[in-house]
Amino acid sequence: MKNFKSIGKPSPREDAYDKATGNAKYIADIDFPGMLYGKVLRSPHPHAVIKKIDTSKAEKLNGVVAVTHAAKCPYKMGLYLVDRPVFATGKVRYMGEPVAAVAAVSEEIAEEALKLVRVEYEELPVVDNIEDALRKKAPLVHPDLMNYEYLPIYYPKKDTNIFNHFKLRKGNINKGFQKAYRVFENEFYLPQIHHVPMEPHGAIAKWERDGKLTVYSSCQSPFTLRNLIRYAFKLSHKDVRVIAPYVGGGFGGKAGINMEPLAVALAKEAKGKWVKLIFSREETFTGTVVRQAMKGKIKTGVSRKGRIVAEKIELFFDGGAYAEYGTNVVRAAGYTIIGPYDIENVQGDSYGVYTNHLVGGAFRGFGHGELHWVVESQMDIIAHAMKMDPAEFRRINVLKPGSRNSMGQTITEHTGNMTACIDAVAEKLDWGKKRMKLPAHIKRGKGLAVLEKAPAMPANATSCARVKFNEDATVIVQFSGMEIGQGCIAALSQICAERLKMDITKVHAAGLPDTDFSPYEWQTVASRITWAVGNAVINAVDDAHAKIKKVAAQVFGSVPEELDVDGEKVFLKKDTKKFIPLPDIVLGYQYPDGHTIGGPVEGVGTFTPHLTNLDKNTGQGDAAAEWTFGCEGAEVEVNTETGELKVLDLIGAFDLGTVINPLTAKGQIIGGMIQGLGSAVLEELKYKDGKVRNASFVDYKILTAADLPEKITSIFIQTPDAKGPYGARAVGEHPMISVPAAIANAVYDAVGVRIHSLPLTDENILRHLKAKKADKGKKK
Amino acid sequence: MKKGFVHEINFTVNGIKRALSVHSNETLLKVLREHYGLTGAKEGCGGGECGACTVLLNGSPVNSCLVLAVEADNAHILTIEGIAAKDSIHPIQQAFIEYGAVQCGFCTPGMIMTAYALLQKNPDPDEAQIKRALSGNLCRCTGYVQIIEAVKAAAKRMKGKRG
Amino acid sequence: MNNFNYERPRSLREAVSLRSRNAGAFYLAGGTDLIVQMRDDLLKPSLLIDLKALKQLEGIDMKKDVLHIAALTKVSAVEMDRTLLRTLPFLCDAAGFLGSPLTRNKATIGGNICNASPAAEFGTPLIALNARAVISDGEKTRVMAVEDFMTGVKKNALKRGELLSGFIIPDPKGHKGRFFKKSRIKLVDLATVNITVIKKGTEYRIAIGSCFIKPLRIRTAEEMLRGIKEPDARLLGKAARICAEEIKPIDDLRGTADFRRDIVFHYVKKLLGELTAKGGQR
Repeated sequence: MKNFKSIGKPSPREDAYDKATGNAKYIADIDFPGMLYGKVLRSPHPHAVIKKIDTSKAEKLNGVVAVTHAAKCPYKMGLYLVDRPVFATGKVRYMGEPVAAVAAVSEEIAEEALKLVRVEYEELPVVDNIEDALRKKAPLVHPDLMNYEYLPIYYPKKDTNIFNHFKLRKGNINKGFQKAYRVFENEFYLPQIHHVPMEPHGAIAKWERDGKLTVYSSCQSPFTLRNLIRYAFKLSHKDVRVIAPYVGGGFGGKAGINMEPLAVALAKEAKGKWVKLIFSREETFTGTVVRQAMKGKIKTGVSRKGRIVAEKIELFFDGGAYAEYGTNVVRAAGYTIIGPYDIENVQGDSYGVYTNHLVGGAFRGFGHGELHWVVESQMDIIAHAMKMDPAEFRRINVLKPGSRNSMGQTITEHTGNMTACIDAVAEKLDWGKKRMKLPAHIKRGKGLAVLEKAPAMPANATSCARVKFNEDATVIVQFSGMEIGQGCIAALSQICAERLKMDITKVHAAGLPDTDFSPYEWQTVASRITWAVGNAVINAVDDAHAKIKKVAAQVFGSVPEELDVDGEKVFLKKDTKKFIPLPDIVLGYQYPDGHTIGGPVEGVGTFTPHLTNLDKNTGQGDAAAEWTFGCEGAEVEVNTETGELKVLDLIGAFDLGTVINPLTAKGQIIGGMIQGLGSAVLEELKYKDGKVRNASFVDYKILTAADLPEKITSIFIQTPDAKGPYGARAVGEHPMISVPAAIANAVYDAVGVRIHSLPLTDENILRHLKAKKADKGKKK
Repeated sequence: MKKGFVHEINFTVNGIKRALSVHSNETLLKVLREHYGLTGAKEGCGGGECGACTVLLNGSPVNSCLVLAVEADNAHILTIEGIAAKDSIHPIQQAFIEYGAVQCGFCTPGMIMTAYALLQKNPDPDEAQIKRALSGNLCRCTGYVQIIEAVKAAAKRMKGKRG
Repeated sequence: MNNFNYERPRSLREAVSLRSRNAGAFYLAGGTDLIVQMRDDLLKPSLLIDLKALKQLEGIDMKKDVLHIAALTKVSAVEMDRTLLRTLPFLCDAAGFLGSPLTRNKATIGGNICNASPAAEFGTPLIALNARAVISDGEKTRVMAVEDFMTGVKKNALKRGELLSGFIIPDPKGHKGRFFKKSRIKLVDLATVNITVIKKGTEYRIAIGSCFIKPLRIRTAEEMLRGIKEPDARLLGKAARICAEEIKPIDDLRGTADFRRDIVFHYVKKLLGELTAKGGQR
């Protein structure tokens, strides 16, 4: 490790003060005089034709300023595939879809007005699961699919419910299976889950009569939001301004475009007035996006020595009623489809499927939690069947320097060390050690699962940062990576201070973007901000230093190459006694006679990931800029009479390269693992006839402080990344990814039942235990 | 206090005596946020399930979304805005900052108020007691571990101060 | 939430009289259920009668070997009460499983029983304790078994013009008991199943919640064990089996009927085992 001044230090984050004192303003905390309140009328049906909408009574209610619906707001949106109307048009496709909205002088009046809107529906057959959706004569959720606009890197299929099919082909699959000593085939499933940010979604919009639109939004992507709003509402970028306050948790659920168009649609009808729309918790469950459900089929061929020689995988994602981010989730899961393994012959197919369920979107892990549930359960099954140690089986097969990954990229020393992650978890788990004596109905087991993920982003996902010197040579660093809780304000300040060779206390991060003033940023998604914007910050500092050196060179009668800058001065390298203190130059250098040269110093830096599109037929190419490898392990205890599962130990080791801030890195890892644990043992959106039944905290539970494992450990493996800022790598999403498989594998080790379907509730485990017992009984 | 939909209430908020007319259906959370601009308490669910709106009502932490403002007549209310000293923030706030207990921050004010009430009652809680006390305050970011560490650290510091 | 009239009466008589005179009136105790239902427009009271000022409705008292728990006693007060922790710790355990600590600072024991959820945390311990509900009409009181007071899902035996003023637990000493709650997460959840078992001398009582329209006593099983000082494992298993068979659970979001039966079987056996084992005193 280099001798860093700011990097690697547990600096407290600047935003924490605002948040711990209650000063931090979130969307719901923002008010304007004369502001109106919006409310949304939602479909009670999962699939129905809208026969008639009558808003006349609502419009007449005293205090109502605007009522809108598809007829007044005929706009559509979509990140990659434009399939989603702002308001249900002609028909509703999921329970909770917006049908109309009102803005009134108070929330109470707006609510009252909603009750006065009359909508007549005629119910349609519901596409209630993936199998139904794929059936030959399935009702089509989007009969007009092929007429929609979409980016050419996605592949919808005519006359089906498939909105994207991603293909991966590597080697020769048939030859591969011919070489196999044994072949394993399995199916796995996981349900839809919700992000559950603690802050419900919200936006405040004003549409001026001169055509200018301002939107405050709790969002992850102010610039992409601006882009998508201006596209949907047919405006110019310069006329749309998006301002992002603190965001109370995103996890993907506030990426891209979400509920903002509803506020904009109301603002358009109530020109010149602010319209505030804050979702209730129930609306946050049904009216935003969710993680897709997924069914995965996997077939793996293994050599006698336990080397994987061929693998065929099909993933079917329940994308819900609109494709949204799901299009790209399908693609990202598709190109990583085999996980971090070195397999010569691969056939992968990843499908996004429309149903009448809640809209699938981006979710921490972006398809990787889903694919690793399939792959990492399968690897465990194979290891046990081959009588191999599951950790050893993985060590043999995972990517190593020289391996080629699923999309054909070559792994190098700098890509990260998968094996070290496995070793670290195994060691901490006392892998293979004997177990203590316990009562007959209490069984303990250990399991682990590996993972990999790269930021999933288009090749033109660019970033910009600005570094501004103040009069006293303190610095303000500007960027539009959103502080959604992950700690980018701290990390980017540290990177900035390091590059400036300046004490961190002299750097202030202006991290709450305003698209009118802040530098461009594609989106705060894909665990990419520290990595991508960090590089932009470094470039911005270098640019500022170059500007300082240029002026100083003139003063010294020298050339910039002979100068250097540190946190306090610009100086001649050869003669350090010749220097100019930074405060004397950062606003321009003034000679004793008053003559001034130079000017205020602002450095601008950009970053572009340098990727390529993938081949349509093989999925081969360069779609991943960097990979983070990890391994997660657990020790569990199962009560065989009740199915009750207790997690004794949960461990995650990630090769996150150089750790910028150990405090926030630990927070990401532990927070992610606990969110992953919730998805493993508890969380599920439950449906009946296409209707969600648990859209509230009463019946959609998340883990509390009382539900933590007895022990939880985060381990940093630090193989510097060749392209990351100071060698840093992404780690935001990864900790969530393989917890379910690690737990399921530990359950298998404990009680010998293999569970193919999440969540691993006590009841689910007990059902499997009873089935196993009944099976045994039959065999006798 | 008078009959009907509108009521005059007198209560103390963060040490300041206040009189206010409220509607019977207004919650304490709404009144604190909208009348006094005390937006530290957040609405995370409005149904008493998440703890983001935690304030102290006569010394006990409650979900202010489930307290009617009229119920708070004669009560003492303490919010996140009322616990700092003149020149320094409260040791619990400081510990939350230092120990990485804050991520998105939406649960933070409620979490701190619950911790504040816990340490008032039990200056030296063990880990199990802390977890139990915090079980009504949901956090989706941190996985709670650094929050628990912060509460332990704050307890230690506060005890040290008391001598 | 709709608007409503609000009164905070100074006497029991005034409270009852307000309720009698107003068809749409509801009593407000802790409000942690009521206000949620009002928020969701499931209830639209014309008048809320806040009982907060009636200090006689709050407190826990042991008088001549009879335990009195007033209806408006906060759940957190039951959870922490020194007398109860000594004599009936399982009642405190039940309190500690109700909602979150934040809820318990507002919710009341009387509210929990009047709300009459089949999963009510206080349902099984009070029923197993043979607790009596004290009902006042402002002047006179009548008393009935809590078991009969809870009449069905969200239904109780109060007549118009009556109010639940508290509970009496006759002869509270000498009960050994256990409270158990199965839920999806450890705390802060509705019960999938809750169970109270009590041993008093050689008399056994078993109450099971969230497995019928109201908490249930399983008297067949109780009778089977009566008089036996240290029932063996086989007998405990048999009693547990009876419990699992006699409950009438449904499938819902918290669990299937089958799962509930499995949980009841395992935990009735386990809890009885703990009570009857040597050194199982608590």
